[in-house]
Amino acid sequence: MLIFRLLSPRDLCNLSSCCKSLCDIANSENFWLDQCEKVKVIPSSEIVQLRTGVSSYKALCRFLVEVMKPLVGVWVYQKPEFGNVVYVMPGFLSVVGCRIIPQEVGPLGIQEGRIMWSPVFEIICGFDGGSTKFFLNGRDRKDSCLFLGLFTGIEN
Amino acid sequence: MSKKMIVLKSSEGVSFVVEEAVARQSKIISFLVEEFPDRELPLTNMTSEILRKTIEYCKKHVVEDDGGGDSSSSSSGDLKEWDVKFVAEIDQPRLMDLLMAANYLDIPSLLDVTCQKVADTIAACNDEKEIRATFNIENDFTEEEVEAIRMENQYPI
Repeated sequence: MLIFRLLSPRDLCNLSSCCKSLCDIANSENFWLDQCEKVKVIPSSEIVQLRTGVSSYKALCRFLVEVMKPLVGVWVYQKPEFGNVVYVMPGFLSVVGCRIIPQEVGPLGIQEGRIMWSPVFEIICGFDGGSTKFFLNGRDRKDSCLFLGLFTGIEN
Repeated sequence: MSKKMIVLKSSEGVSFVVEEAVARQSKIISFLVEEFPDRELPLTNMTSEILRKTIEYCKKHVVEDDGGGDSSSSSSGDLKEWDVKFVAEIDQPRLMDLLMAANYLDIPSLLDVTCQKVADTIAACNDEKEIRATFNIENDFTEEEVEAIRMENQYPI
């Protein structure tokens, strides 16, 4: 059992494909909860809450590894002062991307008040951890629109 | 003053005389030494070969009290390097036996280093076929089950 805790998700998947007994052990919820914690993209206490919306910790780990981990952070393209800054953060079984709108801030910076932002996209985890749904915010003539799509995992 | 010696007996009946401090690396032996002083300790589920390797490890890791306070027989960095070489020289079946011995005798550091070596070996395999070949595991899945697991296990990393 100690060995399983030292393995990566890929190794656990390979091991579960070896034989029936290893498959049973390698698919244990406890090992996959460990794997979710090892991704270090959300706190352990929240991982337990997220489990309610997916079929297993293995499914949750898949979403954390394929989608959340590679995307979460601040993305800047060329000239950030022109609004090319997108802040991507974890949602509830989702990943939310917001564009920071260029704005004047006082001497206290962003601590002075709320910063202005606009939604860019949200990726929602499927029950099996895969089959994620992608929602892109945009504009069609005058109105705001939501474009639907699918999102496949990001390979490292 | 002469050091107290302990006698450990392997499954083949071979006796190994070791210093008490060395034997006490094992929590189980440490307990048995307290309970049954001056008695030969039979380790019926350990072969002489595995017992010899276990003693070799414990000798290297023993913390000696030379009168001036505790001082390890080797520095921490040297020990780690030695551990890596120690497990690298052991073939797969014996490594598993040594891991079981570390678990049975309750030697946490030996258990850690052998588990890490097994985990590294699994990680070095590209797929389940390589793992099966390395650890001599029989595939008892049907074709349909293999396909279902492959679909479930599509991981990018």
